[in-house]
Amino acid sequence: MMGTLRRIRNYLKTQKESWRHAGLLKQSSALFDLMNAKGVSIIILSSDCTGGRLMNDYRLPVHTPTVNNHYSASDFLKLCEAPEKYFNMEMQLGGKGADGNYIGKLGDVTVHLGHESDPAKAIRRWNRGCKQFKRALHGPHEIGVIMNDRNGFSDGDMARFEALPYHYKVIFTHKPYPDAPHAFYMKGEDHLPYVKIMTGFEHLFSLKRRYDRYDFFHHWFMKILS
Amino acid sequence: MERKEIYLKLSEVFCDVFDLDEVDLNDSTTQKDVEDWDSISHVYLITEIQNAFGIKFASSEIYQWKNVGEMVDSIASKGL
Repeated sequence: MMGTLRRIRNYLKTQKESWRHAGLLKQSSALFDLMNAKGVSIIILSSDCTGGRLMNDYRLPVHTPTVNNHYSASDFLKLCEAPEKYFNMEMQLGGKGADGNYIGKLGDVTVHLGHESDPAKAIRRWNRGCKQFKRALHGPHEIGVIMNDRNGFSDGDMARFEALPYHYKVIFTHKPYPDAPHAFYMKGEDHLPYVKIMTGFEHLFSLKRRYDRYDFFHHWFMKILS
Repeated sequence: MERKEIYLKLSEVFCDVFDLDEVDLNDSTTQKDVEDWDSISHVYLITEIQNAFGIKFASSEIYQWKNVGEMVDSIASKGL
């Protein structure tokens, strides 16, 4: 019985990604064609893998080095406050962090380079993202910021997030912030110290990821591209 | 534009996008043959190909490609 359940669970895990892409095909096709028609680049600054997953769902380019890495809340806010400054710095490798990821240093900002066992490749990926960011800045573009209240986020950081000079921004939080118009409360997580991993599926049989509770398609992409 | 010329220009785009000194592309090249060519970089690659050749792909085209040969077919069909 347990073996059968495990096999079902593993099967679902491997298939869900492609089912999800198939389900989003109509929307992602529309977005790709709109992006071509408008010629607008959407630059995503993301505090963790959420931005990369989201853009991969809709098959849109990210134009940024931030995705697939993670940062302390304070460092991510520094990046968002001055992306051109930090994305023009040469990244210095700083060994491995406690989470097993390699660390890159950009002045006073620490980047936890995720999903990469080869540090040289991680740096190369970062530099490629910086190059894409600088190119996108030269043309019509919009910047979108995706953050959550993990990684040492404090109530005081909310004011910095709200002050970021971008129209498209959202921060997923485990408790309501009624005075923060860009905070998106993840209901049912008040008992936790911060939101759960945002890229996870809602449950085993769901094709919806947790970040789908925020309607990026209509609130961001359709507004930017149509 | 001859197929050979398309490959030449396409190779330049690949080298630029993936920071390669050189790349050996042919009709049967797929994502697994080029380091760092993943689903995220793929969409960026497409936008750079469009910019380099001055063409636009429809979403219905790009989702059908199985290899670089089919990508080149699409570029050639634009009548450059």
